Amino acid sequence: MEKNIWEWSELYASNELSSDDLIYLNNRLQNDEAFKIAFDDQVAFVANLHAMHKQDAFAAQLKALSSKKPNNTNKLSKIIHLSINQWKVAAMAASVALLTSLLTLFIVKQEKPSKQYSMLRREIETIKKSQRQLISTLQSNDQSDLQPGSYTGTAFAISKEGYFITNYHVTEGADSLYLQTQSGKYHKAIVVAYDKASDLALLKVLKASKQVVDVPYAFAKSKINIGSAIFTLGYPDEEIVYKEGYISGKNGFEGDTMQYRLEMMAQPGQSGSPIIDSKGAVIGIIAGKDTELDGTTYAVSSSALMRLIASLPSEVHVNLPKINKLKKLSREEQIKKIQACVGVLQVYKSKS
Amino acid sequence: MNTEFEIIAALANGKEWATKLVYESNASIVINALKLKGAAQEDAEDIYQEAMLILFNKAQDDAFRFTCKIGTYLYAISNNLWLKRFDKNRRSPILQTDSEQLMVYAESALDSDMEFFAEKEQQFLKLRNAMQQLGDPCAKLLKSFYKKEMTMQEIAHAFGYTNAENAKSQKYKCLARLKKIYSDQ
Repeated sequence: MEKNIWEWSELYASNELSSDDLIYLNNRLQNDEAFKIAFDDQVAFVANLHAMHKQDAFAAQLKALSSKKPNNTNKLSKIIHLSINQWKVAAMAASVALLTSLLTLFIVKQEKPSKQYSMLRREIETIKKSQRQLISTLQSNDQSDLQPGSYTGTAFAISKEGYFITNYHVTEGADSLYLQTQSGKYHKAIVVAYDKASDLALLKVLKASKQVVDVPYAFAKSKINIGSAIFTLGYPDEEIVYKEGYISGKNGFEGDTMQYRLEMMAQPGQSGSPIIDSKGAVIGIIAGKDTELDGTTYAVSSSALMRLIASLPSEVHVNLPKINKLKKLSREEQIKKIQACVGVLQVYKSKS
Repeated sequence: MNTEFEIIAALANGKEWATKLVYESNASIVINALKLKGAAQEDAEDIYQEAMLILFNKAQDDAFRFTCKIGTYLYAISNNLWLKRFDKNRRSPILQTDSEQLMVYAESALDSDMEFFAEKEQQFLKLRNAMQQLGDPCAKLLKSFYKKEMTMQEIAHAFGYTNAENAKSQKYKCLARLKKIYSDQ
């Protein structure tokens, strides 16, 4: 079929011509000067039209970014090393720092957050600590590069080989991770894989001693229905805390299909906690909450976890449990079994 | 982890994660540096946004992607924009750290990038005007194809053409009209 000149230009601009067509086109361009001039002109025009729409889309992305407040959650206070004779200045600076910190807190609280989504890792008394640290640095001239766990999240076991899952945002930029289980023991953990888009990180506990973790729950393969009752166990505090609620929406924040929307209170520190249905199947992982709607929490669905596991290279074997041992148990008994698999994740970052 | 090349390629292809990553990992450094030179927060943010646009434009060129140091480029181009636009009466000398940063990209290269971008912007402005004058249903049809990236089949369905072939010939007519308006401006 004969193509008109616009069709030639457009197919050429988007690289969609067959080799036969290309030969024909080249031939015609060489022999038909008028055609060539019009063709060149139109190719440039179509390319520009594409470029304009592409740039408009990019500009829209930029605009969305600029109206958001800068994310302060992962900026940690710096430690400054000082020599002894500077301590007076340091003390003054410290008090100024405290004042500024309070002031910042105040301002931040007043401003209405434009971003409605808040991640739920727990920052531990950052202000207090930076004060204490400044002082201890002065006295001991400690060169240690690590700050004590700057914040915590929750992680839970997903296979008996010592693999745990948590949120990517909990582990982001971390130098080292320590998982403290119910028994009180600390285990060093490493990030094996992560998916930033779904906000998941797969951890492996090193030297998980001889005893293997008995994972009592199984994982839901597809999304469960709105209205289903769910519960969670996590660490918003030093101790494990139980909470319950229900699925209030099939999709998460801004229609994110990898998430659920839950009606359940959640607090910082609960990021990475398992969401479990009444039969004891893990259906998701807590990721964040809505800052404007009290009690609205978002959880990454278990199918996103399955996808992450499926995408792992063949050297990594994560065998998700297939049998749900919680089906016939009472809630109290379920909790008893689950809590052994849920731990606090202490996140350490080097000063920067 | 992604390499700078992968990130800049994703950004050039309109991947939102890449835009966000680049934007957020450089925003505070660039904006603070501009503020140190006396730019107001708002101006600094505007300049940074424009620098991102220039980077996006430049990144359409594959060769640039290979050599680009994203942070340095954004810093250098923002700095250049600031010097050109807001700081014509500057008295204080440029700080030492700046010249180190800027050395990677010669000022003339930055200038040409900025000019190239301004030129493109001018063309886009004309195109947008032409699009407005074109009116519906032509403007809608073209938008569906170029902006929403619908297939001709979908467009035929949405606009009530009997088949994709008819929709296509309508689209070419619209394109020809748009180009005429554009050239006559």
